[in-house]
Amino acid sequence: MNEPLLTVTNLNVGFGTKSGIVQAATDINFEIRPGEVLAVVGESGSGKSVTALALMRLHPDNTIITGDVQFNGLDLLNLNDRDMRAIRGSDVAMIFQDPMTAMNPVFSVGAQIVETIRVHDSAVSKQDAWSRSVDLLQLVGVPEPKRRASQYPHEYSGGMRQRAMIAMAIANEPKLLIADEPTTALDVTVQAQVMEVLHEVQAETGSAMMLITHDLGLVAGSADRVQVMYASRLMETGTIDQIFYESRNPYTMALLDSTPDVDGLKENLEPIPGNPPSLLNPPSGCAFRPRCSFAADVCAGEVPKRIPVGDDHDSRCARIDELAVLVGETS
Amino acid sequence: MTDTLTPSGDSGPEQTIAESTADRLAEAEGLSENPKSFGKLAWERFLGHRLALLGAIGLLLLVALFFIGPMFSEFEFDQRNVRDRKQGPSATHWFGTDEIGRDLFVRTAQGGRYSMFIGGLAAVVATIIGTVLGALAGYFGKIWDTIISQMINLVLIVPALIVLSVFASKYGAGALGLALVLSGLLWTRIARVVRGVIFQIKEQEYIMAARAAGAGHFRILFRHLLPNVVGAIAVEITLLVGTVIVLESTLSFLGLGVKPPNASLGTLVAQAKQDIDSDPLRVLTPGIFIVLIVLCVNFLGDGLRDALDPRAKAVDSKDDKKAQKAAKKARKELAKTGGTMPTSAKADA
Repeated sequence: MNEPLLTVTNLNVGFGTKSGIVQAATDINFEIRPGEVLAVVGESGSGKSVTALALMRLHPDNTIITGDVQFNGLDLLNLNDRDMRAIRGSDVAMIFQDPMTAMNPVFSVGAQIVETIRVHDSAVSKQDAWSRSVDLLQLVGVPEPKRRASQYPHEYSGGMRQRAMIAMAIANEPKLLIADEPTTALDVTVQAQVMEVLHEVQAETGSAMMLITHDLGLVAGSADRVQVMYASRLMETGTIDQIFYESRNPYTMALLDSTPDVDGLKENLEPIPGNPPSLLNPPSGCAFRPRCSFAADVCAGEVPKRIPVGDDHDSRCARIDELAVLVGETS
Repeated sequence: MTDTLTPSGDSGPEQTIAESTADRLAEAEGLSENPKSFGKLAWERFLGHRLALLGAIGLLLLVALFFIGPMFSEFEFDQRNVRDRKQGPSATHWFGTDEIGRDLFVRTAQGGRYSMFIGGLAAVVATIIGTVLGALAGYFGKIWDTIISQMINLVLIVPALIVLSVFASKYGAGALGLALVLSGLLWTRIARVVRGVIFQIKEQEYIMAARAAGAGHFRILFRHLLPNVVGAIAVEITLLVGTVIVLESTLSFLGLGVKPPNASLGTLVAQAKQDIDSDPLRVLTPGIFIVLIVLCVNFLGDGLRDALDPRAKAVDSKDDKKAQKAAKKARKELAKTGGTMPTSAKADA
């Protein structure tokens, strides 16, 4: 059971642009165990989605990928196209950010789920696939699924569409669900409902989930483990409690300080000053250095390594030993 | 599939979601009517499109006139009645006769059939060529796009009339051959439209989603992309039919099209032009039929595009009229009462 489902080793993803190589994901190492929910958190452009797309090999043509991705005993980066297609949508399924554009406008929702099922198993009859898609819609909480299945995406509301996307993603009972900002395009009340559905479904199918988001609040309620990304690198990895209560990374702390909490105990939200660096020309040393309140001369030197600070918990910070003291002083 | 995914009757967690939030949402969205199939909706939208309906009926009438009409006439299309030359319309010769006494109604019908055949065939062949090449160029891009785009440019700079006249004078003007040459010259328009639309929608997230679901190139192209292009193609086909008919008429007018004693609408105009001063009707009749065919086909295409778009609103003319009436009444009342909202809207205000 503790054999990891997905193991990513030294993954680097770069894009060739006219002004040079943009390093979108650097030195990514992580694993996902069966049935667990791993949240990947970071600002826009930190490399979260790029990592996920690289795992699925859905990246654009001008992408350079190195590293090793093992999924369920398969070497994903060196699989031929046909085998890769067989995995997409069946063993690894993806839920996209914007339910408004992620469904084909000219097919009914049911037909799109049928399509997903029959891409991978053409032996399933259309009728069987259709009744299964109705079941799936019911499972994700679409009301009147029989009727709704024959409706078109534009007849669905945003939340309903995202539910249908989830139904489509779990149609083939994937071992790994990649949810790329599944609730970003929805309003807050609907977000909660969709996350609830995602959770039920994930528990029901026992699939692992990689939840990509920039919303720490969303992570708190739903993830087992969290990894924080900044400027193409993993900054801190740990269990949900380790990240929220025992963070050992200035960036994670800054993120937490800038997030409102439900109890309203925080008096001031501290925004992180400045903007994320350009990935075309990142600063020397630690990429967070220009915005970090703990930055010192050592930070400008080498890029800090990921240093283990506990069970399943590591952090990338050059001043990690002094950090505990420093945090005590400032707060 | 396994039991885990099938919602069971007992109160599992999925039931709670399904019942609590979903039912509320269902209520909020006002779901009451029964779903209609795509075909039925498209048909309704088509029927609601007045011009398209007019075009379809007009086209049917023209087909009936061209194919069935001559059966009611006692004349053959190449039958000369020298005594009845250059007559105006009469009970015997409905459209009159030409300079060697052939019945013009029968000849117009024959010309109409010929024009429709060439127009339809050339449009279909050109659409097939254009759609396939345009889709390949748009979807695969790169070298495919370069080659196909250059092919399109090459065909576009070829003067159609010259190619057609060379072809017609060398090989004669069989309807089949002419239609094929025409489609070989006219597929470029369809190809450009299809290429453009596919270029635009292949970047949509649902195409990425289809890839993420494991669909291959072939499936994405034909199952996911092309259905999105159907509306645009429908319009192009009808424009193409018009172009082909006009081109064929031009050729025939120049004496390069259909050979006598056969007629096409173009040759009829050409033959009549010498008498345009004394008998303008002879020029006008076939001309009007050319215009009618082209117009009807264009109206039809317009309606097809709207009908085939699932995003278009369902047309329910009865409800629509009722709603219009209610609004009109409310407006009148509003004017009478001097600005206060009528009863039904008052509650909100």
